[in-house]
Amino acid sequence: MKREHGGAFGFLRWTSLRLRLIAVFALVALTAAVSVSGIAYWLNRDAVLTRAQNSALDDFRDSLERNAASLPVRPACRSLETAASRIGSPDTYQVLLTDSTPEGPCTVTSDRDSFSLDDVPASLRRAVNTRHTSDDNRYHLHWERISLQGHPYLVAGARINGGGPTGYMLKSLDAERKDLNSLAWSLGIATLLALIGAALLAQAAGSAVLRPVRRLGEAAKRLGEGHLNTRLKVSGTDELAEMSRTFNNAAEQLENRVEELRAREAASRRFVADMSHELRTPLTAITAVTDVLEDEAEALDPMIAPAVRLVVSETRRLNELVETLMEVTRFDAGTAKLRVDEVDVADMITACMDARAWLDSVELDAPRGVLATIDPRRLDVIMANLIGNALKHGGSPVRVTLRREGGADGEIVISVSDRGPGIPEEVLPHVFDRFYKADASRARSEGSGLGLSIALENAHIHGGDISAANGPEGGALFTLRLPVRPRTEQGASGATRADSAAPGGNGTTGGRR
Amino acid sequence: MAPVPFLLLIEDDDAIRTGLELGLSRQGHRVVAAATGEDGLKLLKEQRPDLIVLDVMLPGIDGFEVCRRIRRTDQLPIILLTARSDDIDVVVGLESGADDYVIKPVQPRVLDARIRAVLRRGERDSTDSAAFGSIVIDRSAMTVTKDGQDLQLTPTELRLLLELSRRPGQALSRQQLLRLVWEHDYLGDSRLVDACVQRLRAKIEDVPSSPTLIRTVRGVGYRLDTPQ
Repeated sequence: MKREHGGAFGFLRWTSLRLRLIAVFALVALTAAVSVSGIAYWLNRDAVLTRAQNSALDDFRDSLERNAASLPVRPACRSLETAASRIGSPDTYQVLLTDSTPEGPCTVTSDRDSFSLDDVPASLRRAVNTRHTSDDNRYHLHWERISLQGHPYLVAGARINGGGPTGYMLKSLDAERKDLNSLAWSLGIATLLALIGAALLAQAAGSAVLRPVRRLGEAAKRLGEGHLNTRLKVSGTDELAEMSRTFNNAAEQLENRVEELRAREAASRRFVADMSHELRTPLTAITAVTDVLEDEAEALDPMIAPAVRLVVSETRRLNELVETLMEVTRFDAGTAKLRVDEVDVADMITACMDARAWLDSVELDAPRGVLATIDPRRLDVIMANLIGNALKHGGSPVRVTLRREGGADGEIVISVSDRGPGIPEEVLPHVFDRFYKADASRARSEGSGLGLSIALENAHIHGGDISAANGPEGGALFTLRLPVRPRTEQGASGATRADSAAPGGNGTTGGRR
Repeated sequence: MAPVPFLLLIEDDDAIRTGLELGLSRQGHRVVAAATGEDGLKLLKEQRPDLIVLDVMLPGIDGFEVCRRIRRTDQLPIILLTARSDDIDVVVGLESGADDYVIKPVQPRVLDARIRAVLRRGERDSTDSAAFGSIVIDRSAMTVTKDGQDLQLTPTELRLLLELSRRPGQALSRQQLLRLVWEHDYLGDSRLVDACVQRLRAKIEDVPSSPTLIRTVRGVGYRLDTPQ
């Protein structure tokens, strides 16, 4: 659950890193493209317009001077019209001439439909009719850029010095505008392409950076899952390679450390196993003579008899302790084996209590006929520990109930409850810990401190479990659950079956979930 | 009253050997002890004991080998002394022909009970006889013959066959057989039954791998049938 959360978090993080990279690249590309395009556009526009304008104005001036010179001083309106149409042409620009003729003021245009004096701004007319005192009171050529019905035009005007008509020209700048528009389009498309290119570059750069980062993340995850031999391939000398190298070093140190700890743990386990095995030989010899001593105790000196009885009883206790210790080492080493047999569980529980003379102090509610394929010796160990624990700490009456749950592959549920003070909340998670004593003030109790831990191990090896809680009416409540049959089917005749309790055991699979 | 049982104890550890000699003598047995398998086999030939208590871990030839060598010629009961009950030792020991086993450290009282239970298996309890196919069980002579030939059965094998033959066609559970033959309590080791059945089949069945006399009843135990 935690890991999943971490995984989702990690995914979001590297995605956002990618997004950030793309955003930065795009921003840089956009700024560069827009400024370059903008400058190029404005320079181009200026150049194009100036060139078009200059050529039109030069042409107009020359043409006006040439034609005006051929006109009489007070030309007839007709001849003005001829001159206008000679100067202007529909292809390049329209011309308007105005002068005072014998028939009065006359204004003619080369194309009456598209050009009239009204189109000429008043400011331009004023400027055209102004004599420039700084230049011998001559008239100058003036021009303006205007927009008529949404179309750009260049309008210019000049008055012939030394008397003559005033000429105006109107040139459409539509062609230039079209050129400039297509230039703007090209620049826009170029900017867009630059942006897309930048995004692709950012993606590639992001991948180049993020691939090793993701590999590192995956490697760290594998390491966390316990694959301590996980290593990254280090290539190059950049920061990412340095990071991979650091990871590899860390993983190697971790692996070495874990190996060391494992070896040390295995050594200490082996020591306990060997030690308890070694204890057995002298214990066997001593035990062999305890019966002799016990039988003779009656006849011995009253001073010596208690000493002999003490030796006998403590020898038995030592025996039990060593046996328990060996059982624990078997569980730790994974060599504990399950020897299953089909038994009537109620009979088993009764026999277990009968063997320990508990039948009078325990209420048993167990229907006969509940059959289970279990290891009878291990069930006996579990029940002896659970009931013994209840009698010792809870006191009578101890109640034991048996019921069966589920179908053919169901489980048996045995609960053991007492009427004692119950288990303090802070102790509950530790009741199955080895050598955990619920009452710390009690320096030494009769138990080995291993009983419940061994009971739990015995339940686990069956694929079952034991839970501890406090009952609704007070008192401790232990619940044992065992599968009715082991998880793997045994052979037809063999009631004996080795169970692999060790992780990665010796070929026998199943038995435990 | 049966005569004092005469035991041969083969155990290499001096302290254990001395302790068990003391304890078993105290329980009313006559004990002769050997420290190695070789010495034990020699003593067996010289003294003809009623029963052998045999340690598994021995220097030189180990307990299993001693067991196998004894079984080649003798059918006297053998009880193994072993380190732990869920060890492979138990299985190998029973396959080598041992009748029962006890786990160290053992109280002489417990060992005594086992010894007496094993020795009782050889005692006759009725005087009739029964036939199952080619097998004839003579309960008065305590002999079993196959096609007229005497079969060499250990007292445990014989007792198992007698108990099964007393209830022909009826399945007996391993726990029932443990009580009847081995006189074990409710925590008896069912491997004793399985190993003994295997040995018995090897002696009485025509084809031990597909038995027609002692049948396995799945989920229950074993049954002795009259072949059809």
